[in-house]
Amino acid sequence: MKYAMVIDLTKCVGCNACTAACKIDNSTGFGVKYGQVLEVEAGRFPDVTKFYLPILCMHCENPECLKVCPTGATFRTKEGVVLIDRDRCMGCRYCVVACPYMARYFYNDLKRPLGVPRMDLEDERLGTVEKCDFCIDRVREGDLPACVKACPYEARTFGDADDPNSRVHGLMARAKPLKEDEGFNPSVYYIW
Amino acid sequence: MSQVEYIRTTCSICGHNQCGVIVKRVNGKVVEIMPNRDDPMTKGSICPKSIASVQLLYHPDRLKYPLKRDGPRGSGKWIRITWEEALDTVASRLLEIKEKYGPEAVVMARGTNRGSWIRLFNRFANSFGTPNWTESGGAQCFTPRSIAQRLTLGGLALEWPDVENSRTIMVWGANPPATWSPKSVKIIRARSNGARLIVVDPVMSNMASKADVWLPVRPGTDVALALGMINVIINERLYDSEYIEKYTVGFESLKERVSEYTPERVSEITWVPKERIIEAARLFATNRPSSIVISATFDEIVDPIQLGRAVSIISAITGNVDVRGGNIFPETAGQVSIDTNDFIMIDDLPKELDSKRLGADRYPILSKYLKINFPMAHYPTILESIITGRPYRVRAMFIMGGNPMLSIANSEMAAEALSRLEFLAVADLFLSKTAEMADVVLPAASWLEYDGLADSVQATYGHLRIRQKAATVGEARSDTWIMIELAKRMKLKGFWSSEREYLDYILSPTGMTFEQLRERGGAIYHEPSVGSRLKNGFNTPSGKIELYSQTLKEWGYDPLPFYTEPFESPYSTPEVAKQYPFVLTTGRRVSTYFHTAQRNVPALRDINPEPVVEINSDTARELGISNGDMVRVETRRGYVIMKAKLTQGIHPRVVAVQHGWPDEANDNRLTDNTACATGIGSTTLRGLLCNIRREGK
Repeated sequence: MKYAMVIDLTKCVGCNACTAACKIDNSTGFGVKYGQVLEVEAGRFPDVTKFYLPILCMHCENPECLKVCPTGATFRTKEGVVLIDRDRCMGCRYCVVACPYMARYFYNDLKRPLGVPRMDLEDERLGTVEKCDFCIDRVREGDLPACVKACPYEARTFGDADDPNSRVHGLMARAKPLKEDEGFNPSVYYIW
Repeated sequence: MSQVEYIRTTCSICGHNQCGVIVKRVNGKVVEIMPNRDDPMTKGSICPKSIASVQLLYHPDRLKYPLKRDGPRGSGKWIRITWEEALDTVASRLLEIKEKYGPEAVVMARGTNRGSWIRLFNRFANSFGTPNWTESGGAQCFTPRSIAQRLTLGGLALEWPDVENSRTIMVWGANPPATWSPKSVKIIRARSNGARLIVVDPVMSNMASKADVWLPVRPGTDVALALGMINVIINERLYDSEYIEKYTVGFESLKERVSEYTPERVSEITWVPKERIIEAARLFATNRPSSIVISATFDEIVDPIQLGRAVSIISAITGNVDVRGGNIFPETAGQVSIDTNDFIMIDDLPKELDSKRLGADRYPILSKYLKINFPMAHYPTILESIITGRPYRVRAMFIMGGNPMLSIANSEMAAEALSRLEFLAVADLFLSKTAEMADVVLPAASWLEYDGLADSVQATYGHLRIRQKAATVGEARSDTWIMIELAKRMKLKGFWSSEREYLDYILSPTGMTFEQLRERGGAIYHEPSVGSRLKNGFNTPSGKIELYSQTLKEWGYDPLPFYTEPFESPYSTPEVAKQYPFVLTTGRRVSTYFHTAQRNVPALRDINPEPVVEINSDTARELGISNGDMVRVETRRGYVIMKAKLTQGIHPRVVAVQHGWPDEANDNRLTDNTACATGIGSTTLRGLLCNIRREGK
């Protein structure tokens, strides 16, 4: 069993429904985004192209973050999901620097503008490093990750990459991960 | 054990009233809002605003009970009152002012349509007896383009692009991924199935990023672009001559008119490369069926009626109106239509009041009762009336879901006017900038807090779906309930004793009550009669599509479309352009906010934390502006300060600012409400002149 996600960039229009769903579901503090959507532009006016690139923790098979963690807080589950044991994280942030996909956040909630209240949970996450966990609690209960469920364009597909009958397995054949050649072996693939 | 429930409903966070969504409730508390992929109409569309409505619902700053002002206007001092007192006060004050100064001294103004009460509000105003009903959108949203479509096509076909069956889709002056998810989802699906996409937008928007042909038009010159495309279609004989012969009038005179709009000349006017104008025209006309998706650009330029007309004509001469895959006409699912002059009870308003409607003399297409419009007062003229007392003085306003302090052109004047009112009542979710000016504030319900119907014209194409109450917040009540309760106290004709009775009335022709519809799944569908106009005639005086509009001629306007340079531009006011060399649009929207709302919702604010101005990166370099710098954008009327986003996706001489931010980022400090569109009174929000400079980090 190995969970994977395929994101079809031809369908993503950068609406950020995924980002909102992620922030609501994880009730993350201001400035913390386990998933977000980048804009990539090329060319010169008027011959310009642009696409939207959703990024999140890539749940690598060879995670750089895991290698540098001095306390063993970062670990990889049998399902291929990279997680952080909050009790063992001492907030050193080596992993934040090491992650090639900039997917990790040192958790704080300091940048809220005036008039924007705090609505997240009482936070035991403060002072630790946090990131996308593929919504593993939801997934284990048979639900989908929040971003996958929210996407109105059905640009995201999630499932067991090891199951040859799964939709995600089929799509992976024509999809590629980011920084494919660097040996991290991510579980998030893209179609473009 | 926790109790988990799933409630199927329709979202109305953006007032389009469309997306079918599922609300998850655990132990009575809403915890998640997700797309309903089985919704018969919207098939899974949703946006961040809808998803984050959980945070809007339980926001600590929500108004939870009615408030009465306790100190000078705008002082921020309030006392809590009961609904009884609040409703009695609003009803008696409005009646007093009506009695003392005449009904026209009371203005009923709405903003966001937080449900299906859009036309109920017209009915409320007409039944009360004031001719002065208006909208923050009003002449800048939906009204001009509706009238243009009715004049030309006899109905609102441009509102219903049948994109799922189109081979070419042209999105014009609209960015559905940010503002209209149901249309966007269908466009992207069609594109995945091979449809080609043309996008007209000054900025490389979300939608433009998916375009096969992007037409970066100079803001405000869209009419010239449309006429240029018609020129190409006619000169290259790409039109559908059989369709034109059978279903249209005025082709020969149109042909003569557009002959002056050659691609060369139009390219000079619009700054769009000539080749692209030709490419787009050819693609649209030949790769059929083709549909057109439009939005508020058609209401916010120097001459919006001409744009609605010209673009309707593109669809007509290529044979794409009332055909599958083209633009088709909205129909109800069999319920009482709220979009009729009968429903709004316009005939109950004494005839002599028609000419008293503010704006009637200068903007008759907006403000006189012409049968094909819902006549409304002209907002800038209302402000003028409050301040100057001419032609008479407006004394009181009842504002529902609107925030004119930020959302209408010329904020300074709006603030002055509201501060001079004798009485102001505002219904809203939060103490908005406008609510802060009120005497009485009524706590309104969000879309999650009441039972209702998604039955506005933009929410129904043969479909009727219900909205279901999923939560209660304090004493907040739906706008419909508020109107019904006020109507009772003011003894208004044509109202109901309860919300439920109202909903049952709307449903009565279907033979079902609201409860019965809910039990049967909450959705009904009536197969639209595509092609019925082709068979039975169009709803125009000639029974055909009017390329040449006899009605406009009778009203004293040019019966053929023509281009007007914006009031302020490098060509119409070269002297002004020396000091303000950039062309400005205030039309930029992001997916997380609807106009002035939702900036206090944490999840949304984190996605778009700051007001942004888009500037071409070459221009920025010349001016010493870096990405992320704070920039001062200044017009002859005022300035804003916003964060620079540098891009190549905008013309070097065009600047685009976001709309809806408060205070020093309020784009309506830049806009003008004195020069308004001929006949219809729209303020120009796209196509102004500005200057920019670096303000700091």
